[in-house]
Amino acid sequence: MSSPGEIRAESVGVRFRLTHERPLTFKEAAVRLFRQPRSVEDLWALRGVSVELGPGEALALLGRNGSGKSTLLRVLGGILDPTEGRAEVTGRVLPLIEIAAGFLPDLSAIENVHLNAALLGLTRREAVERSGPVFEFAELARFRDVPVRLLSSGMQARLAFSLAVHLPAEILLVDEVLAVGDLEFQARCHERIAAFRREGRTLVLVTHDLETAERLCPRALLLEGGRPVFSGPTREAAARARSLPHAPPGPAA
Amino acid sequence: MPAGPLAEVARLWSRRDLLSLLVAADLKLRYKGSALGFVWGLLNPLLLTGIFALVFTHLLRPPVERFPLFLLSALFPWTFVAQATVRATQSVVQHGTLLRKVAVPASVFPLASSLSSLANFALSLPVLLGLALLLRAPVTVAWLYLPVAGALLFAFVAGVALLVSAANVFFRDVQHLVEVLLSMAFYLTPIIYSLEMLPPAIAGALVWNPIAPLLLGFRDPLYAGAWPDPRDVAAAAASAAAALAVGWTFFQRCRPRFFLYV
Repeated sequence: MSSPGEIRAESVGVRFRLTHERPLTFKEAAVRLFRQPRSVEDLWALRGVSVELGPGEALALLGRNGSGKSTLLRVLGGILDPTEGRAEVTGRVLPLIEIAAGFLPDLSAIENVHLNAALLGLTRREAVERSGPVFEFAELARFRDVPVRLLSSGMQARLAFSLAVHLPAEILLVDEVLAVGDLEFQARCHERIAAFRREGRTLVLVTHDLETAERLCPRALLLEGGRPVFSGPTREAAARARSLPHAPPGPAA
Repeated sequence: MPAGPLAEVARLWSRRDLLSLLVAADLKLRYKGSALGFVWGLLNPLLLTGIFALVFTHLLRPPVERFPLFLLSALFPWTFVAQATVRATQSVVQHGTLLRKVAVPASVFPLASSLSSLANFALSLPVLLGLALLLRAPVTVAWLYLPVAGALLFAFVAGVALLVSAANVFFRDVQHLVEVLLSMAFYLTPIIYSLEMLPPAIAGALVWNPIAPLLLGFRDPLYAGAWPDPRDVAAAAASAAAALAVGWTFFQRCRPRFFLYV
């Protein structure tokens, strides 16, 4: 039996069919009935990737744009079902993938905090209980009742991050959101994530900032074109990532 | 992740707070910026009723007694069906960015939009009851059937909402098609007329209209003070169950592929 905070992914693969990836119209569908089906190009955004993390461990996902980092994060977060292999995550997962995306611009900041907390799996009571500390950390207490569209993008990102780190979760999946806000806020974010780790929670971090990766995660997985190329100590993974050839031939994100 | 329809229902139930917050947000955004806000939900059917009452007692006199009540007792439920369907069509596509970023059961979006339309429809019921009293329609215990009629109609609407919202993810034409189909269905459904007014041959064909028995659940008690015919109740229940089953199954089948299309 697995304990909360555990992540186990076995040879996960995600395939995208390129010709099917846009909305069809009836006309196109009708034309297709009579024509030869166009050749379908398979793109494996991710293949043969395995991840094993115990409770309280931290893993950095490294690699260039389009190497499959975010896709892997989405599989672990239960947002995307893998085409092959299996991903098992025990405990409450908090996927922080461009969190501000969930904000409805016409609702007030406090309403958005409640709604987004609910989107991430909290009950209404849990959300209300946490909203105080959330606004305090984001330093936005004065703006509780202001529609989110009137907040600056920096304020929105701060609110979103603050909400995220105040939610109860055994597992935190973070995608580049550390790059929000000014330097001082970033420093507090790093502090907060370090505290998150000290509390024995599991962390998976996608980042291009190799120093951040080394500071927060002892282990790293380096992806290239959707395939794992190195798994081990972050220092070594970072060195390899630096030495990867430029101008990636891999698929776009 | 557990599979099967029951697991999905359980997953949805565990997210009921999200559902209620989405409904609240939807209602709020619907009346955003208007001074009267939610009052419009009541004012709109009230004004509409006033207009119909004036037109059909002073301008036109259709050979149906209490015609405004006859018309509105079917028109308001119909408006609920039409409005909820149109709004639900966009619901999944609209929240596409969310679906790509948060692990959330996609069905909350069409269901939330159906529920907020239901709330709107509920506000037109007091207006209908008031009109029935005003026009001295028989007030009987048959009015007790109205909550049942409402539940069946909502189940039907939820099924249609699931169906069209999922279909619209793959074929954006659905949103345009839905509007055309709805205006066609308006005339094929006994709203401005009743089946008894039609030649038997046509009435016989329209008996198969899946919406008709659902609307009779409102018209029979409100207009005539009568319980609906048991056959109509059975037809309404079958229609609601079929819509819900088809909509739910279709939606869950499509769901894994939403990610690529939204």
